[in-house]
Amino acid sequence: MNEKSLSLESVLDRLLAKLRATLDIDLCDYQRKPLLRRLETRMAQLEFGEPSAYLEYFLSHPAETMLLLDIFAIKFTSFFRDPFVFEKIAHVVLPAIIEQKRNSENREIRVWSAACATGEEAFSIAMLMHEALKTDPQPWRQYVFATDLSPSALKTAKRGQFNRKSLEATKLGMIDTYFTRNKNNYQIQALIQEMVHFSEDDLTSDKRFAPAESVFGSFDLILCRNVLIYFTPTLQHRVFDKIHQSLNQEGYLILGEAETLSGPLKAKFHKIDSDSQIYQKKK
Amino acid sequence: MKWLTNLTIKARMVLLFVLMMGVFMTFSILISDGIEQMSKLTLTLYEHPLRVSNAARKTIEYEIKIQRDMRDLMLAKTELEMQDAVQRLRESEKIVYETLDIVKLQILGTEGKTLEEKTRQLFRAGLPLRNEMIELVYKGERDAALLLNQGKRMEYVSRLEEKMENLNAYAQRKADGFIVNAEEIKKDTETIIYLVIGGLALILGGALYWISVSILSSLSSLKETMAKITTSGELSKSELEGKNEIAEMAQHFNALVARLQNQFWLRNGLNEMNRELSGDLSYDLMLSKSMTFVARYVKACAGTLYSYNNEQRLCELRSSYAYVERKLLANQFKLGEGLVGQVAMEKQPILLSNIQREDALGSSGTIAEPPRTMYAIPLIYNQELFGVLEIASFEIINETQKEFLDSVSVIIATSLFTAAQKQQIQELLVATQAANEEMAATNEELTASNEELQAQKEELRVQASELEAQRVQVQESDRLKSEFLSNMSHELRTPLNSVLALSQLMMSRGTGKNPQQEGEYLKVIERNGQQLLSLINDILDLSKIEAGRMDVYNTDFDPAQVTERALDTIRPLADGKGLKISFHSEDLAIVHSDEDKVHQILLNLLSNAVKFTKRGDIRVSLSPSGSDVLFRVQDTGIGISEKDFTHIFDEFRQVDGSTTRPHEGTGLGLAICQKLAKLLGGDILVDSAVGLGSTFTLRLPVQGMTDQSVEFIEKKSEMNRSMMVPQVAAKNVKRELAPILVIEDDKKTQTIIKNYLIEAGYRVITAENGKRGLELAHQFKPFAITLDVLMPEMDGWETLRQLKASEQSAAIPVIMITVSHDQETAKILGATGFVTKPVDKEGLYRQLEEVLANIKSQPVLQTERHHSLLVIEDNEVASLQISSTLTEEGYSVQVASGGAEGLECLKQHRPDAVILDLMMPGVDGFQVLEELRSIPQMVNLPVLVLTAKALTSEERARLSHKNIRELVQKGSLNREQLVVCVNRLFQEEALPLRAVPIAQTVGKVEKKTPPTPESSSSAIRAVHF
Repeated sequence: MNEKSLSLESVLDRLLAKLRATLDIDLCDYQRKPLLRRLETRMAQLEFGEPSAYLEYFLSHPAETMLLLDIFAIKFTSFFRDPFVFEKIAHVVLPAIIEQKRNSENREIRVWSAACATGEEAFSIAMLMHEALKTDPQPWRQYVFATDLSPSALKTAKRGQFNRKSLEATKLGMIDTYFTRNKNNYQIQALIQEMVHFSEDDLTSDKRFAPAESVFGSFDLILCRNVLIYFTPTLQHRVFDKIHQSLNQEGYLILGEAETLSGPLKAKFHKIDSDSQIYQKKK
Repeated sequence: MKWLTNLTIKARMVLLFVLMMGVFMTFSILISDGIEQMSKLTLTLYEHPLRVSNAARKTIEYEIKIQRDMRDLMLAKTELEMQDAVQRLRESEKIVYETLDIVKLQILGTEGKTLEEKTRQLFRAGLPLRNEMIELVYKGERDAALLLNQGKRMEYVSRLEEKMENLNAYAQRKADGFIVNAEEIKKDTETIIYLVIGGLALILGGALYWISVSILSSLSSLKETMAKITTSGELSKSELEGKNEIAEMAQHFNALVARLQNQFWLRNGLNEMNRELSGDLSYDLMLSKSMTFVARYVKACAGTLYSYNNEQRLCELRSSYAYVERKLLANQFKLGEGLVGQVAMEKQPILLSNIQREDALGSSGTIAEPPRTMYAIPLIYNQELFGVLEIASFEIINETQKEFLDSVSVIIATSLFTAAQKQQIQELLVATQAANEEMAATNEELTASNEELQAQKEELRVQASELEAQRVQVQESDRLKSEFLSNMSHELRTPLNSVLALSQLMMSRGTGKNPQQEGEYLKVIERNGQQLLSLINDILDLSKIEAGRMDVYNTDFDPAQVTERALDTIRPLADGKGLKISFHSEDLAIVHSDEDKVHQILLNLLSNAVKFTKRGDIRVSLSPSGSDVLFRVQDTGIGISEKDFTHIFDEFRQVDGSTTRPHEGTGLGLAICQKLAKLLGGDILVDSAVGLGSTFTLRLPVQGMTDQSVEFIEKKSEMNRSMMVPQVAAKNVKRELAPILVIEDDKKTQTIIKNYLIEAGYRVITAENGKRGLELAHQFKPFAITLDVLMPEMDGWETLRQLKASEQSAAIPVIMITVSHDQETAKILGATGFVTKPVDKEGLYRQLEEVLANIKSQPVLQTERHHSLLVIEDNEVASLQISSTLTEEGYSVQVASGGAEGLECLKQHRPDAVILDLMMPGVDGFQVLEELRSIPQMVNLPVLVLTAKALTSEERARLSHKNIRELVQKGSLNREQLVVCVNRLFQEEALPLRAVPIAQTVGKVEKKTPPTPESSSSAIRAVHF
């Protein structure tokens, strides 16, 4: 019963080690404070007072592993979160990408929504892409690859059903066009669903720089929003490196409002707009 | 000449002036002397010879007058006249004496004196003669007197005259001599004057030249120095010496230059200091830079820079110059401690000069001597102490250096202040950023947990509403059950009642009394019995299906015949209600299914249609749809409202369940039909609008199922739902295609067709006439064209002809849209399909499916030289990306969506290379490889393994002898790199095959070969194996 004396910190360490061992997901480079808070929340939910008691529970309940991962990976997202950024995407970024490619043989747009959680961001971007290209006489291949490390979040995302609240920032016209209203929720149209390909992927993993589902990188746009804040600077830099490798020349990177591009790769991007975190990879 | 340069210019001017005055005076004296001599000479000339000569002449004159007086005397007639003459005579004699006295007085030389004496004697000697004559005259003896006069007297007169003439001549000669003398004197004087003037001019000129040269040379030397400064911009001193004004001026100038030099030194030093400290320097670098610079600039022998720690009230050594730490000397000073501490405390600099002590040695490699001066300055900015700068020097620190050090201390202090501020700002910034991120994270988390709460709330709400729904459902099912029971009892009771009533009636009346009426009764009884039977059969059917005990007997039959059969049964009913039934069937394949059950369903649908239709017609059609047959029953009956759509297939359900409903029936028919349809692998779809009628469609697979258990059927239909994915892919394929060109002049029809096509996932471009259509066809190379026949100007037939005539558009499939039935004409003109107006949506889709199928079945049109690739990949998205990328690269790409299909393709056609996914359901990549390599002609087929999986050592071992050319981890390369990898498959094919198994090669690459720039993907190969 010497386990009784374990602090929350050391329990977290053990949990993280366990997650790494069983799921091959390494959260060690995540900011600790949020993780600790979430662990506390979880313990409170299960009414554990002692961290070691929870650890015991965790070790004896295999299902808790995934649950804890979901709790750690929790992310708030909604359609067109930060509408200004999406306006920029719709009116600056996408037209630039389309113009860049229009006359090339390869009329293909590849977008990666990294840490997509329940997919709202990925669907938002897919809607914007569809809007931008629906009247285009030329055929375009459009892919939105959306990845997250939480299988349950992805399951929700794939279902494509959302509540009204997540659509608060969505224009009514968009809702009318791209959603079917059910009794309790809004179902995204199959048309948009088909454009988005969800897959599990650990953004911090160094096994690959682009999601496996996308086969290869060469993205025109990467959205990596409101996830870097949970990472330590070192980990952030590693993620920036992956993103840099995955992006096409002059491809765009969009970060969350509270996030800034830092580290050695900062020089390889330029910020296209002072009011939002939109960066373009330099040639 | 030294004395001259020491002479002031004033003195030199005075000297010159004096000299000039002297010359002038000398000259004047000379001139006046000459004039005096001349005047003397003139006077002599005038006074002597001339006076003598004049006196001589006067003597002569008066002698002549005496003569005349004598004559007058002689001629005098009266006494008076005589006396008068004698008186004049005496007066003349007197004047002669007087003149002779003058001569005597004036004449020079002894000769003249003798001459005068002789003349005087002679004149005196004449007196007795004249007296004699006077007496003679008085005596009246004039003749005697005349004779005497003529004798003696004449002689005397001539002698006297001679004497007088001599005297006069002498005097004349004497005067001439004086004039000559004067000439000589004049000449001499002139010569002297010329000589003197020349000499003086020489002296004066020399002096003037000398003095002016001496002034000008020093002036120009000064001027040159100045000019040099102006032109070169470098300050230099004048080398003039001496004690004169210019030298003094030069000294002042030199002093000015020196001062300026100091100022410049100061200013440059400060500027350089500022430059040194400009830029983004770290605190320590800034300190060391300023220390080094200051020390070098003032040529100090040592220097130390202390920063002031405000918290500990301590000066800490932060930087030093040529400073050797010694035990004696501390690196920290408290306020007031030591010189540094003192300076820090007072905030006043301290200067120590003439240090003699030996213990503070400034040392170089060669010497070690005590510094002479030490200067410690506080670094103060805004009255706040930032540190102390201490400088030791072998030299005395002069005022300028002091000034420099003082100014520099301000600069350093300012920089220290700025640096401190910057550091503080940086720290704040970092803290703020961290806080921001932390806050954002917390915020996120709050939002997330809020969201979670919201979700939980939502979930609870959903649960509540689900519970509510369940409650309602339970109530509903209760209601339905009781409704059903009451319906059923009613349905059962009604025929039973009539059966019982009629049989009782017949029994009470006895049989055979009224055979005709009995016959009627029996018919009614029979009909009611039949009704009851069918009702009970229905119930049994339903329960059988529910229990999974319904058997399916599949046979081959013609769907049209079954329909006809059902129609035959129902037609009388319809005729009875005055409804028209039309039947249209397309050429259909023989269906393999349970004919009876199909018949039952159709019968039910038809009877429903008849039952719910009061007037209008019922249209029955048969059409193929993919691998299904669609039986469509369309009525113009009461229709079903949308909210009831979901319920119509429920058991015991009629739209109106009340007992007063106008339509009879158990409400079991549709429920049974739907279950039967599902049993056969199909389903029933409904489309309806209240008041307009309903369309029920039975979708039946052409090839019925073999397995007959209901559970399987349920599963299968679930699978159908999950079949969404391939459908999605099909839609994707449609979007990948070129658009469909719709040529239609009627806007309304055009919109309808366009909407149908978009709905089906095609891309559409439209043209409102044939001409524009031709243009667009050439421009966009559409995937297919729908062409209206009746158009103004160029009609559909002409457009079709032109489309087919043009090489660019001949291959594009054309679907004619027309009201007429000129199918043959269309075929002859080269149309691919034919759809009648009003546009039949399904027909249109069917035609396009055919076109699509044709395109798919055609081998990919690639020129022969391109390599063919087989992509074996179960993930549709992945294979689509790979194939599109490689097709663009000029490869002809075939896709197999699984291991089994891949092997099938391989057996049919050997591609030039294979791209193989490892993880696939069913036959996986490993198995494909095993099989592939077991086929002799495929042993060397290049294979690129593409995997999302990180391979285990076991898996690696399985691959190691499979001769894999490339192993690529999905997501670890870019498009270009993938292309490079694939291209390399063929480059390497040309090379002799490597005997080394892949695992070894990779191992080698991994360990020894550094990644070469030319193949970035070889590195990928290495990293991910």
